[in-house]
Amino acid sequence: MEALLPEWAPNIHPLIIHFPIALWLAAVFFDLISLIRKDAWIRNTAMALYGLGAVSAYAAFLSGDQAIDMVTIPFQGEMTASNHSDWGSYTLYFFIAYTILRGVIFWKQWDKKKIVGIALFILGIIGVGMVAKTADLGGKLVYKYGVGINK
Amino acid sequence: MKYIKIMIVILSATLVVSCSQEKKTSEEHDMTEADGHDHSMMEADDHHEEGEESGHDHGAEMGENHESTANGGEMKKWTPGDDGVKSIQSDFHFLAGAMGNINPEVMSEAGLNVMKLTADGTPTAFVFHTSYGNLGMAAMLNLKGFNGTVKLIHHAQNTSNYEFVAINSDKMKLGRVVDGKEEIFDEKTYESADDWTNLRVSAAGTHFKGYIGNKTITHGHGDMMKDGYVGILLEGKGMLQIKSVELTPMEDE
Repeated sequence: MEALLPEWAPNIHPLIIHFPIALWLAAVFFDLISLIRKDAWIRNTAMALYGLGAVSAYAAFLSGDQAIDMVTIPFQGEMTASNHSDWGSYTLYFFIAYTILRGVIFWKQWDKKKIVGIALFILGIIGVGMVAKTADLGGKLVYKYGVGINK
Repeated sequence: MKYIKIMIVILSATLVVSCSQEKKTSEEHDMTEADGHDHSMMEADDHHEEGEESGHDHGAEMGENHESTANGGEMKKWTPGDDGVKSIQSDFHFLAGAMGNINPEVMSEAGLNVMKLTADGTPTAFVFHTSYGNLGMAAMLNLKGFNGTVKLIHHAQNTSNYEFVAINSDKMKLGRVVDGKEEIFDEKTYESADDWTNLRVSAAGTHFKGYIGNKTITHGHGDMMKDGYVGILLEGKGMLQIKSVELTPMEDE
Protein backbone atom coordinates (compact mmCIF):
# COMPACT_ATOMS: atom_id res chain seq x y z
CA MET A 1 0.00 0.00 0.00
CA GLU A 2 2.84 2.37 0.86
CA ALA A 3 4.27 1.99 -2.64
CA LEU A 4 1.09 3.55 -4.03
CA LEU A 5 1.49 6.66 -1.91
CA PRO A 6 2.79 9.86 -3.44
CA GLU A 7 6.33 10.56 -2.30
CA TRP A 8 5.22 13.59 -0.23
CA ALA A 9 2.40 11.85 1.66
CA PRO A 10 3.19 10.71 5.23
CA ASN A 11 0.40 8.13 5.09
CA ILE A 12 -2.82 7.38 3.22
CA HIS A 13 -5.14 9.15 5.69
CA PRO A 14 -4.99 12.66 4.15
CA LEU A 15 -5.88 11.19 0.75
CA ILE A 16 -8.98 9.39 2.02
CA ILE A 17 -10.55 11.84 4.45
CA HIS A 18 -12.08 14.07 1.78
CA PHE A 19 -14.34 11.28 0.54
CA PRO A 20 -16.68 10.98 3.55
CA ILE A 21 -16.92 14.77 3.80
CA ALA A 22 -17.77 15.27 0.14
CA LEU A 23 -20.00 12.20 -0.24
CA TRP A 24 -22.04 12.91 2.90
CA LEU A 25 -22.49 16.57 1.95
CA ALA A 26 -23.60 15.57 -1.53
CA ALA A 27 -26.02 13.01 -0.08
CA VAL A 28 -27.60 15.63 2.18
CA PHE A 29 -27.86 17.97 -0.79
CA PHE A 30 -29.70 15.27 -2.78
CA ASP A 31 -31.95 14.72 0.24
CA LEU A 32 -32.84 18.39 0.19
CA ILE A 33 -33.60 18.23 -3.50
CA SER A 34 -35.72 15.12 -2.97
CA LEU A 35 -37.93 17.09 -0.57
CA ILE A 36 -38.82 19.36 -3.47
CA ARG A 37 -38.68 16.99 -6.44
CA LYS A 38 -39.93 13.43 -6.29
CA ASP A 39 -37.78 11.96 -9.08
CA ALA A 40 -36.73 8.38 -8.38
CA TRP A 41 -33.14 8.96 -9.51
CA ILE A 42 -32.66 11.68 -6.85
CA ARG A 43 -33.84 9.32 -4.14
CA ASN A 44 -31.62 6.52 -5.48
CA THR A 45 -28.61 8.81 -5.75
CA ALA A 46 -29.02 10.05 -2.18
CA MET A 47 -29.16 6.47 -0.92
CA ALA A 48 -26.08 5.48 -2.93
CA LEU A 49 -24.16 8.52 -1.68
CA TYR A 50 -24.98 7.76 1.96
CA GLY A 51 -23.77 4.19 1.44
CA LEU A 52 -20.54 5.34 -0.18
CA GLY A 53 -20.14 8.00 2.53
CA ALA A 54 -20.32 5.35 5.25
CA VAL A 55 -17.87 3.05 3.46
CA SER A 56 -15.40 5.90 2.92
CA ALA A 57 -15.81 6.96 6.57
CA TYR A 58 -14.78 3.44 7.57
CA ALA A 59 -11.72 3.68 5.31
CA ALA A 60 -10.87 7.10 6.79
CA PHE A 61 -11.24 5.69 10.31
CA LEU A 62 -8.96 2.72 9.62
CA SER A 63 -6.32 4.85 7.90
CA GLY A 64 -6.46 7.39 10.74
CA ASP A 65 -6.06 4.66 13.33
CA GLN A 66 -2.92 3.54 11.52
CA ALA A 67 -1.62 7.07 10.87
CA ILE A 68 -1.85 8.31 14.46
CA ASP A 69 1.09 6.13 15.51
CA MET A 70 3.17 6.98 12.45
CA VAL A 71 3.30 10.73 12.89
CA THR A 72 5.03 12.89 15.45
CA ILE A 73 2.61 14.89 17.58
CA PRO A 74 3.88 17.57 19.96
CA PHE A 75 2.53 17.23 23.49
CA GLN A 76 0.51 20.43 23.01
CA GLY A 77 -1.33 18.75 20.13
CA GLU A 78 -2.12 15.46 21.88
CA MET A 79 -5.49 16.64 23.20
CA THR A 80 -6.49 17.65 19.69
CA ALA A 81 -5.33 14.27 18.38
CA SER A 82 -7.30 12.53 21.10
CA ASN A 83 -10.46 14.53 20.36
CA HIS A 84 -10.03 14.04 16.62
CA SER A 85 -9.78 10.32 17.16
CA ASP A 86 -12.86 10.24 19.43
CA TRP A 87 -14.95 12.33 17.05
CA GLY A 88 -13.81 10.14 14.16
CA SER A 89 -15.21 7.14 16.03
CA TYR A 90 -18.52 8.83 16.87
CA THR A 91 -18.93 9.98 13.28
CA LEU A 92 -18.26 6.51 11.93
CA TYR A 93 -20.79 4.90 14.29
CA PHE A 94 -23.35 7.52 13.35
CA PHE A 95 -22.75 7.12 9.62
CA ILE A 96 -23.05 3.35 9.79
CA ALA A 97 -26.18 3.41 11.94
CA TYR A 98 -27.76 6.09 9.78
CA THR A 99 -26.96 4.27 6.54
CA ILE A 100 -28.48 1.02 7.81
CA LEU A 101 -31.57 2.90 8.98
CA ARG A 102 -31.69 4.71 5.68
CA GLY A 103 -31.35 1.44 3.77
CA VAL A 104 -34.28 -0.13 5.61
CA ILE A 105 -36.44 2.94 5.05
CA PHE A 106 -35.43 3.05 1.39
CA TRP A 107 -36.23 -0.62 0.94
CA LYS A 108 -39.64 -0.22 2.60
CA GLN A 109 -40.15 3.03 0.64
CA TRP A 110 -41.17 4.90 3.80
CA ASP A 111 -39.00 7.83 2.76
CA LYS A 112 -41.59 8.75 0.18
CA LYS A 113 -43.59 10.25 3.02
CA LYS A 114 -42.72 13.92 3.46
CA ILE A 115 -42.36 13.76 7.25
CA VAL A 116 -39.94 10.82 7.03
CA GLY A 117 -37.96 12.65 4.34
CA ILE A 118 -37.65 15.74 6.55
CA ALA A 119 -36.56 13.66 9.56
CA LEU A 120 -33.93 11.88 7.47
CA PHE A 121 -32.68 15.19 6.12
CA ILE A 122 -32.29 16.56 9.68
CA LEU A 123 -30.37 13.45 10.72
CA GLY A 124 -28.19 13.87 7.62
CA ILE A 125 -27.43 17.45 8.70
CA ILE A 126 -26.38 16.16 12.12
CA GLY A 127 -23.98 13.82 10.30
CA VAL A 128 -22.56 16.82 8.45
CA GLY A 129 -22.00 18.55 11.79
CA MET A 130 -20.18 15.51 13.15
CA VAL A 131 -17.92 15.08 10.15
CA ALA A 132 -17.24 18.86 10.18
CA LYS A 133 -16.18 18.70 13.84
CA THR A 134 -13.88 15.74 13.09
CA ALA A 135 -12.41 17.51 10.07
CA ASP A 136 -11.91 20.73 12.03
CA LEU A 137 -9.86 18.89 14.66
CA GLY A 138 -7.88 17.11 11.94
CA GLY A 139 -7.16 20.43 10.23
CA LYS A 140 -6.02 21.88 13.54
CA LEU A 141 -3.59 18.98 14.00
CA VAL A 142 -2.00 19.72 10.65
CA TYR A 143 -2.12 23.51 10.44
CA LYS A 144 -1.69 24.43 14.10
CA TYR A 145 0.59 21.67 15.31
CA GLY A 146 2.26 20.69 12.03
CA VAL A 147 1.37 17.00 12.37
CA GLY A 148 2.14 14.95 9.27
CA ILE A 149 3.52 17.80 7.22
CA ASN A 150 6.89 16.14 6.82
CA LYS A 151 7.27 12.57 5.73
CA MET B 1 -41.02 -0.62 12.12
CA LYS B 2 -39.27 -2.47 14.95
CA TYR B 3 -35.94 -2.16 13.10
CA ILE B 4 -36.49 1.53 12.58
CA LYS B 5 -36.96 2.02 16.31
CA ILE B 6 -33.75 0.11 17.02
CA MET B 7 -31.86 2.25 14.52
CA ILE B 8 -33.24 5.46 15.99
CA VAL B 9 -32.13 4.30 19.43
CA ILE B 10 -28.61 3.60 18.09
CA LEU B 11 -28.44 7.00 16.41
CA SER B 12 -29.65 8.74 19.55
CA ALA B 13 -27.14 6.83 21.66
CA THR B 14 -24.33 7.88 19.33
CA LEU B 15 -25.36 11.52 19.63
CA VAL B 16 -25.73 11.34 23.40
CA VAL B 17 -22.29 9.72 23.79
CA SER B 18 -20.70 12.36 21.52
CA CYS B 19 -22.34 15.24 23.35
CA SER B 20 -21.72 13.88 26.83
CA GLN B 21 -18.04 13.30 26.02
CA GLU B 22 -17.74 16.87 24.80
CA LYS B 23 -19.56 18.15 27.88
CA LYS B 24 -17.39 16.07 30.16
CA THR B 25 -14.14 17.39 28.73
CA SER B 26 -15.42 20.96 28.81
CA GLU B 27 -16.52 20.56 32.44
CA GLU B 28 -13.12 19.17 33.35
CA HIS B 29 -11.53 22.07 31.56
CA ASP B 30 -13.70 24.56 33.44
CA MET B 31 -12.88 22.87 36.71
CA THR B 32 -9.15 22.97 36.12
CA GLU B 33 -9.37 26.58 35.05
CA ALA B 34 -11.13 27.37 38.27
CA ASP B 35 -8.33 25.67 40.21
CA GLY B 36 -5.79 27.17 37.87
CA HIS B 37 -2.75 27.98 39.96
CA ASP B 38 0.21 27.79 37.66
CA HIS B 39 2.84 27.12 40.27
CA SER B 40 6.26 27.47 38.90
CA MET B 41 7.66 24.43 40.62
CA MET B 42 10.69 23.70 38.57
CA GLU B 43 12.24 26.37 36.54
CA ALA B 44 15.45 24.49 37.01
CA ASP B 45 17.47 26.46 34.49
CA ASP B 46 16.77 29.66 36.38
CA HIS B 47 17.48 27.94 39.65
CA HIS B 48 20.88 26.89 38.44
CA GLU B 49 21.94 30.46 38.01
CA GLU B 50 20.29 31.36 41.26
CA GLY B 51 21.77 28.29 42.90
CA GLU B 52 25.29 29.26 42.05
CA GLU B 53 24.85 32.38 44.09
CA SER B 54 22.51 31.23 46.81
CA GLY B 55 23.72 27.70 47.44
CA HIS B 56 20.81 26.27 45.40
CA ASP B 57 18.39 25.79 48.22
CA HIS B 58 15.20 24.68 46.47
CA GLY B 59 13.69 23.28 49.66
CA ALA B 60 12.41 26.46 51.22
CA GLU B 61 10.92 27.63 47.96
CA MET B 62 9.37 24.47 46.59
CA GLY B 63 8.58 22.39 49.61
CA GLU B 64 5.40 24.37 50.16
CA ASN B 65 3.89 23.40 46.86
CA HIS B 66 2.30 20.13 48.01
CA GLU B 67 -1.27 19.54 46.82
CA SER B 68 -1.10 22.19 44.12
CA THR B 69 -2.51 21.58 40.65
CA ALA B 70 -0.99 22.64 37.35
CA ASN B 71 -2.79 23.47 34.14
CA GLY B 72 -2.05 25.29 30.94
CA GLY B 73 0.03 24.22 28.00
CA GLU B 74 3.40 25.61 29.02
CA MET B 75 6.24 23.12 29.20
CA LYS B 76 8.28 23.00 32.40
CA LYS B 77 11.72 21.51 32.50
CA TRP B 78 13.46 20.10 35.52
CA THR B 79 17.20 19.60 35.60
CA PRO B 80 19.20 18.63 38.67
CA GLY B 81 20.75 21.26 40.89
CA ASP B 82 24.32 20.99 42.17
CA ASP B 83 23.45 18.86 45.17
CA GLY B 84 21.71 15.55 44.53
CA VAL B 85 20.03 15.10 47.90
CA LYS B 86 18.87 18.74 48.08
CA SER B 87 17.54 18.60 44.52
CA ILE B 88 15.45 15.52 45.20
CA GLN B 89 14.35 16.81 48.58
CA SER B 90 13.19 20.17 47.31
CA ASP B 91 11.53 19.22 44.03
CA PHE B 92 10.09 15.77 44.80
CA HIS B 93 8.47 13.79 47.53
CA PHE B 94 8.45 10.04 47.96
CA LEU B 95 5.39 7.84 47.42
CA ALA B 96 7.49 4.73 48.06
CA GLY B 97 10.98 4.17 49.36
CA ALA B 98 13.20 6.94 50.63
CA MET B 99 16.27 8.96 49.82
CA GLY B 100 18.53 6.24 51.18
CA ASN B 101 17.20 3.76 48.61
CA ILE B 102 18.44 5.79 45.63
CA ASN B 103 21.47 7.63 47.00
CA PRO B 104 21.29 10.67 44.67
CA GLU B 105 24.46 12.33 43.47
CA VAL B 106 25.01 14.98 40.85
CA MET B 107 27.83 14.83 38.37
CA SER B 108 28.72 17.09 35.53
CA GLU B 109 28.65 15.87 31.94
CA ALA B 110 29.57 18.25 29.14
CA GLY B 111 28.79 21.20 31.39
CA LEU B 112 25.37 19.84 32.37
CA ASN B 113 24.34 18.45 35.73
CA VAL B 114 23.30 14.81 35.61
CA MET B 115 21.49 13.14 38.51
CA LYS B 116 22.97 9.76 39.32
CA LEU B 117 20.75 7.46 41.33
CA THR B 118 22.01 4.20 42.76
CA ALA B 119 19.00 2.03 43.51
CA ASP B 120 19.33 -0.68 46.15
CA GLY B 121 16.43 -2.77 44.86
CA THR B 122 13.69 -1.29 47.05
CA PRO B 123 10.83 0.00 44.88
CA THR B 124 11.18 3.77 45.07
CA ALA B 125 8.80 6.36 43.66
CA PHE B 126 9.54 10.07 43.79
CA VAL B 127 7.10 12.55 42.34
CA PHE B 128 6.90 16.29 41.80
CA HIS B 129 4.88 18.23 44.34
CA THR B 130 2.30 19.42 41.82
CA SER B 131 -0.53 17.22 40.59
CA TYR B 132 -1.55 17.08 36.95
CA GLY B 133 -4.38 15.87 34.74
CA ASN B 134 -3.73 15.50 31.03
CA LEU B 135 -0.05 15.88 30.39
CA GLY B 136 3.03 14.96 28.43
CA MET B 137 6.16 13.89 30.27
CA ALA B 138 9.60 13.34 28.82
CA ALA B 139 12.65 12.13 30.73
CA MET B 140 16.17 11.88 29.42
CA LEU B 141 17.50 8.73 31.06
CA ASN B 142 20.59 6.57 30.93
CA LEU B 143 19.71 3.04 31.94
CA LYS B 144 22.99 1.40 31.03
CA GLY B 145 23.89 0.54 34.61
CA PHE B 146 20.37 -0.21 35.79
CA ASN B 147 18.92 -3.67 36.08
CA GLY B 148 15.15 -3.58 36.41
CA THR B 149 12.14 -1.53 35.41
CA VAL B 150 11.94 2.23 35.20
CA LYS B 151 8.46 3.73 35.13
CA LEU B 152 7.36 7.24 34.36
CA ILE B 153 4.25 7.52 36.49
CA HIS B 154 1.41 9.99 36.25
CA HIS B 155 -2.07 10.42 37.75
CA ALA B 156 -0.45 8.90 40.82
CA GLN B 157 -2.41 8.93 44.08
CA ASN B 158 -0.13 6.41 45.76
CA THR B 159 1.79 3.29 44.73
CA SER B 160 -1.46 1.34 44.37
CA ASN B 161 -3.13 3.82 42.03
CA TYR B 162 -1.25 5.35 39.12
CA GLU B 163 -0.70 5.21 35.36
CA PHE B 164 2.64 4.50 33.78
CA VAL B 165 4.90 3.82 30.89
CA ALA B 166 7.59 1.33 31.85
CA ILE B 167 10.78 0.20 30.19
CA ASN B 168 12.86 -2.82 31.00
CA SER B 169 15.76 -3.57 28.61
CA ASP B 170 14.02 -3.43 25.19
CA LYS B 171 10.42 -3.82 26.35
CA MET B 172 7.94 -1.04 26.88
CA LYS B 173 4.66 -1.41 28.77
CA LEU B 174 1.88 1.12 28.96
CA GLY B 175 -0.78 0.75 31.58
CA ARG B 176 -2.19 1.59 34.96
CA VAL B 177 -2.38 0.22 38.46
CA VAL B 178 -5.73 0.50 40.21
CA ASP B 179 -6.04 -0.67 43.80
CA GLY B 180 -2.77 -2.50 43.35
CA LYS B 181 -3.96 -4.39 40.26
CA GLU B 182 -2.02 -3.82 37.07
CA GLU B 183 -3.81 -3.35 33.76
CA ILE B 184 -1.67 -3.26 30.60
CA PHE B 185 -2.96 -1.11 27.70
CA ASP B 186 -0.19 -2.01 25.28
CA GLU B 187 3.17 -3.75 25.27
CA LYS B 188 5.90 -3.62 22.60
CA THR B 189 9.60 -4.04 22.10
CA TYR B 190 11.76 -1.21 20.84
CA GLU B 191 15.30 -0.65 19.65
CA SER B 192 17.51 1.50 21.79
CA ALA B 193 20.45 2.83 19.82
CA ASP B 194 21.95 5.17 22.37
CA ASP B 195 23.02 5.14 26.02
CA TRP B 196 20.61 8.00 26.62
CA THR B 197 16.93 7.30 26.12
CA ASN B 198 14.33 10.01 25.72
CA LEU B 199 11.40 8.20 27.33
CA ARG B 200 8.11 10.02 26.81
CA VAL B 201 4.54 9.41 27.83
CA SER B 202 1.35 11.30 27.08
CA ALA B 203 -2.05 11.09 28.72
CA ALA B 204 -4.63 12.97 26.69
CA GLY B 205 -8.19 12.24 27.77
CA THR B 206 -8.71 8.53 27.28
CA HIS B 207 -5.68 8.14 25.00
CA PHE B 208 -2.31 7.09 26.36
CA LYS B 209 0.95 6.77 24.46
CA GLY B 210 4.52 5.78 25.19
CA TYR B 211 7.35 6.98 22.99
CA ILE B 212 11.08 6.61 22.60
CA GLY B 213 12.13 9.99 21.26
CA ASN B 214 9.53 10.97 18.71
CA LYS B 215 8.57 7.42 17.83
CA THR B 216 5.30 6.09 19.22
CA ILE B 217 5.91 2.62 20.62
CA THR B 218 2.79 1.93 22.66
CA HIS B 219 -0.73 3.32 22.41
CA GLY B 220 -3.69 2.41 24.57
CA HIS B 221 -7.00 3.60 25.89
CA GLY B 222 -8.68 3.74 29.25
CA ASP B 223 -10.98 5.84 31.38
CA MET B 224 -9.65 9.11 32.68
CA MET B 225 -8.19 8.92 36.16
CA LYS B 226 -8.34 11.85 38.54
CA ASP B 227 -5.43 14.27 38.68
CA GLY B 228 -2.36 12.99 40.42
CA TYR B 229 1.35 13.32 40.85
CA VAL B 230 3.94 12.63 38.18
CA GLY B 231 7.39 11.24 38.69
CA ILE B 232 9.62 8.22 38.45
CA LEU B 233 9.25 4.77 39.94
CA LEU B 234 12.28 2.50 40.09
CA GLU B 235 11.88 -1.24 40.49
CA GLY B 236 15.36 -2.64 40.28
CA LYS B 237 18.98 -2.29 41.21
CA GLY B 238 21.88 -0.33 39.86
CA MET B 239 22.69 3.10 38.51
CA LEU B 240 20.24 5.28 36.65
CA GLN B 241 21.14 8.72 35.35
CA ILE B 242 18.69 11.53 34.69
CA LYS B 243 19.54 14.59 32.64
CA SER B 244 16.16 16.24 32.61
CA VAL B 245 12.42 15.80 33.06
CA GLU B 246 9.98 17.86 31.04
CA LEU B 247 6.31 18.24 31.85
CA THR B 248 3.75 19.70 29.49
CA PRO B 249 0.26 20.08 30.94
CA MET B 250 -2.30 19.68 28.17
CA GLU B 251 -5.25 21.95 27.78
CA ASP B 252 -8.46 20.71 26.25
CA GLU B 253 -9.95 22.94 23.62
